[in-house]
Amino acid sequence: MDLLLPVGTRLLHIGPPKTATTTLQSAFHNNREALNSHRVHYAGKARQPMTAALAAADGSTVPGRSAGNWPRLLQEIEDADADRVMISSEFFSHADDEHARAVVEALGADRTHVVITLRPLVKIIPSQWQQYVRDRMRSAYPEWLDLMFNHADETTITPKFWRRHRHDLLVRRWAEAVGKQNLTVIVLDESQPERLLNIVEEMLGLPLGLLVSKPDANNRSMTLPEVEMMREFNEQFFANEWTSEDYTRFIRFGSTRRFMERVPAADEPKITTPQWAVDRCIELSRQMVTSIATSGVRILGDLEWLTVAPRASAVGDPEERPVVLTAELAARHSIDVIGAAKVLSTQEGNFPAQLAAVKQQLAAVKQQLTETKRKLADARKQLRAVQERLQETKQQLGDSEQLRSEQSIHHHTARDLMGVVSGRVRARLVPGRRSRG
Amino acid sequence: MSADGAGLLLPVGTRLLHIGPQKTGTTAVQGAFHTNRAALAEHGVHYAGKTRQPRPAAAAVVLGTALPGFPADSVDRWPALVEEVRTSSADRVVISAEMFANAGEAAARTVVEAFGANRTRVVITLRPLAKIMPSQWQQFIQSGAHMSYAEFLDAMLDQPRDTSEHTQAFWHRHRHDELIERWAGVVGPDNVTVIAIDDRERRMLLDTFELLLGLPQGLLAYDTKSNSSLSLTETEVFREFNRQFFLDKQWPEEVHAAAARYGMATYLKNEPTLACEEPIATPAWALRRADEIAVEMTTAIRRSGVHVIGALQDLRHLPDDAPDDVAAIDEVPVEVAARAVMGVVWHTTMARTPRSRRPGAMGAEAPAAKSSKPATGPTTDELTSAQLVGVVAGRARRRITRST
Repeated sequence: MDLLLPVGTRLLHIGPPKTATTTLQSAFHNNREALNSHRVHYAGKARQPMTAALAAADGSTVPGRSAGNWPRLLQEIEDADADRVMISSEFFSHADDEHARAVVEALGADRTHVVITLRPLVKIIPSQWQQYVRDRMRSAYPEWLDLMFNHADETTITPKFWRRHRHDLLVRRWAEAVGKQNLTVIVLDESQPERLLNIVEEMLGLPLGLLVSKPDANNRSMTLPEVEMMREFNEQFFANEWTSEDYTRFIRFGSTRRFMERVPAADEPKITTPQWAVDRCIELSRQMVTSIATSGVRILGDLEWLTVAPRASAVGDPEERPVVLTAELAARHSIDVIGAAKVLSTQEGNFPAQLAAVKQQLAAVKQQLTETKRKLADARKQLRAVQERLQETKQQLGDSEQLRSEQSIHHHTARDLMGVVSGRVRARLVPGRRSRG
Repeated sequence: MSADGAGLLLPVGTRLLHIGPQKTGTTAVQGAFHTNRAALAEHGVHYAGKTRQPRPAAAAVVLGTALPGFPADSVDRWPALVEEVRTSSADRVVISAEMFANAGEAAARTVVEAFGANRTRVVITLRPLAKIMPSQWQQFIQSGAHMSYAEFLDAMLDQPRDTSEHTQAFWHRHRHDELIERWAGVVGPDNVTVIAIDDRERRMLLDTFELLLGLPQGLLAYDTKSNSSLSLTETEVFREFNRQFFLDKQWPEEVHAAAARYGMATYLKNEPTLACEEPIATPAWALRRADEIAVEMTTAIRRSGVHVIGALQDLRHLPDDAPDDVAAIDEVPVEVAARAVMGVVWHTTMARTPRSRRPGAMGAEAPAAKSSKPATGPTTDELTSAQLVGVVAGRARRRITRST
């Protein structure tokens, strides 16, 4: 199958979240120059145009961040000197029918192609919950599952969840907006992570292997103790009546980013999903797969992959006893808060590295100082020797000086001097007398 | 000294200098004074300083430097405190800071002379060494140490006193007989009062201060804040935090002082203790060793000739249900970890690094004195006849010029 899209295409990847979006986006963001040389432009300045996508999809904003500028992103796409433009943000999946249509029209209905990446819902669910906790949520996992599966219409918690993850509705909504012939669903195969990048390379006319994904610590899920500590922290944070703006600035995009660089021990417990929720996920996935299969869109990969049962280790009720942490983990986030806070951050924000550099400079200066001191000591020794000799010489000089000064012209009157001159004259006149008096 | 406290009242003009040491209920006493200033004033008692305790001022005279996290000019608070005490018109003035117990003999003398050697009464509060040990360990941890309790006990009780900074600091404060002797050597034993605290009587310390100062009974009241100790769980999280802070990150002391000592510690202490948190329990061997030292100390204190209020035998503490070993904490409840983070967030988002002032310009070096050289001229031998004629002619010209 020839996947190459026509010149002029805008390829819009709308996620949804938790479907390897970060991997794909960082592969584009980190390879901008190579993309340019193959006449592909990746829209936006950052890894993904999050706030602009939110503005376009549902007009929402991120607390503590200025509203996204969707028209500016459109202008950038319009001005791009490239054959094909890639736009990727999972936040486009927040759009309802009307907003989806508007996004497609803004990009150009005749030249937009939409890509939707899909993973099994049963794998998305725990990952999505911990992501919500990283963004302020306080609900426990079983409680949140109950809300999503049994009370989604009544709760105000995570209102976009099903907009993102009713994948059948998502596919049909965007197929309606862009035309089913202009929509590709990529079913992810976790045993072949490179496959997604290869498909996109083919669609955009890029050489195979050009897109390279850089591993990103922030892309992993939190372990159970990590997420439970975070959740408890959120509880205490908002009990203090602090704001979501503060949370976004100091925690979500501050300390939590650093915290995710932690490498959990292999045996640290993972989040497990209760059996009832697993069953509901699989039942729903079957329904979604049937609907997607008959939607008429292009499907790459096997839709049946979306209905497979999870590993036994991923299934189970949350432990009865309260979650406990190792001391290392318990102390770690406090450290990361300091690391992210203004007390340490300079322009580069990397205090330990700067400290190490300064220490190195200091060591170099100290060594120079020692060297200089040694030279100074040598010089002093020489100086002392010279001074001693000088003293001796002065002594000798003093004696002769005494004599000299007695003979000095200052001690002679004009008459004496004239006497000397006349004596010299006489001596010249009287040969044989050679005195110079 | 009679049991009803008659005769305890200190003379008018007395400066009552309470030097702690640490971990003997000082925070509670200081809070009682600080929050009852107006009532104290009505009864002729002035509590020196503006805060709970004048720690930066005491640090200035004892350590000769500003405390970590305080501006460099906080050392000026010592002369200010001295001036405040000197000019107070109150009948009795109270100065309380456990930092004074860190003073060596010279600093102790400076302090006493500053307040007036003839009118200063040094008050030392004492609790059993066995109870001070766990309390002092967690205090060291709050200040940035990362030794375990077992390591701490070994260092304090089984190693020479000069083993480390911590052992030196500990015994300087808590070899109570030596502390008393040091201050008695400066003010005289008759001007030192030791209060052996009875933990079973909650108001004992406040009642005693009221008697010393001539205050109506019950005037002093504890405020809500107490320098309660951290639990074992909290201390272990703090200890691990310090390890990561100083060993892994190698971050500076002043950031720790702000974020951890004030931020995290204060936040943890203000939260209610959880049911699953355990106190710091001292093993039996350490209690026995501490008791031996307590016996030595009380014997020496009895002989020292200072005033003693309370019963010195209360300074022995040897419970028979002590564990064999120090308990290890393998697991920390999420609440405690989250509280630690909260404390740091709470402080770092408000923290301001003090601007240290530039040191004043150094005095300019005196210019080196110029060496005076004797005037020498050439000898007649060294000049030609023509030059000699020139010299004579020059002299003649100068003479003529001067005379005109």
